Amino acid sequence: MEMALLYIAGALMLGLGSVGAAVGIGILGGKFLEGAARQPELIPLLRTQFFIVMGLVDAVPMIGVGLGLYVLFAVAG
Amino acid sequence: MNLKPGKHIQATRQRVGRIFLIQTLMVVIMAVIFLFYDLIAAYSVLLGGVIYLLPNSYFAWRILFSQQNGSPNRALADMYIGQIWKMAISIVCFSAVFILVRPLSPFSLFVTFILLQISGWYLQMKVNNRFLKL
Repeated sequence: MEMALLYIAGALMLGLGSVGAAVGIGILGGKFLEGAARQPELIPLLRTQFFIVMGLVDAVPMIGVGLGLYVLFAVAG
Repeated sequence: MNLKPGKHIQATRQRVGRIFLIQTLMVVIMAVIFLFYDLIAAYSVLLGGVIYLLPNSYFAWRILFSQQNGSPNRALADMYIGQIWKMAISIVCFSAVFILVRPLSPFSLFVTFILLQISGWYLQMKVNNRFLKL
């Protein structure tokens, strides 16, 4: 029973982290396309801004993924 | 706006390179400090740093050093592919460390990883004045 709870906890951390990252990255990509369609000459600038904001968006989900993998492989494994 | 893409990309590459250098120095200093207390904590700090720096440097290389020409769709596809690879490398690194490295100090590893993430936010905001003006 305890093992099952650990696996559920790990799966929730991985799954919810992925959902958050997917929503954030999807919005970011949409905004990038909007900006690039309005002013194509700004694509290099938008690329660098995309790089910076991507770092902000996927930081917390990656921490969640790391903790989830720790629970799955080190605690439960 | 009189914007020269080549110059802008060059400046961004230098800034990002400087950020990675500062973060690498942070990891080394933390590992040396932890080495005085505990060897396991020291190498866990180093592993946390590698898990952060390896995927992020790959992503930065992919975004900032790869081919810059092309349509917006192509640029976005490149960035998404880079992001997917970054996540895959992170997951492989985390899994490999948790499966292969025993004993491990998870506290040191995660503290280093989280500190590097926060320092990444702070440094990128601080060195990129244009971002703050948006």
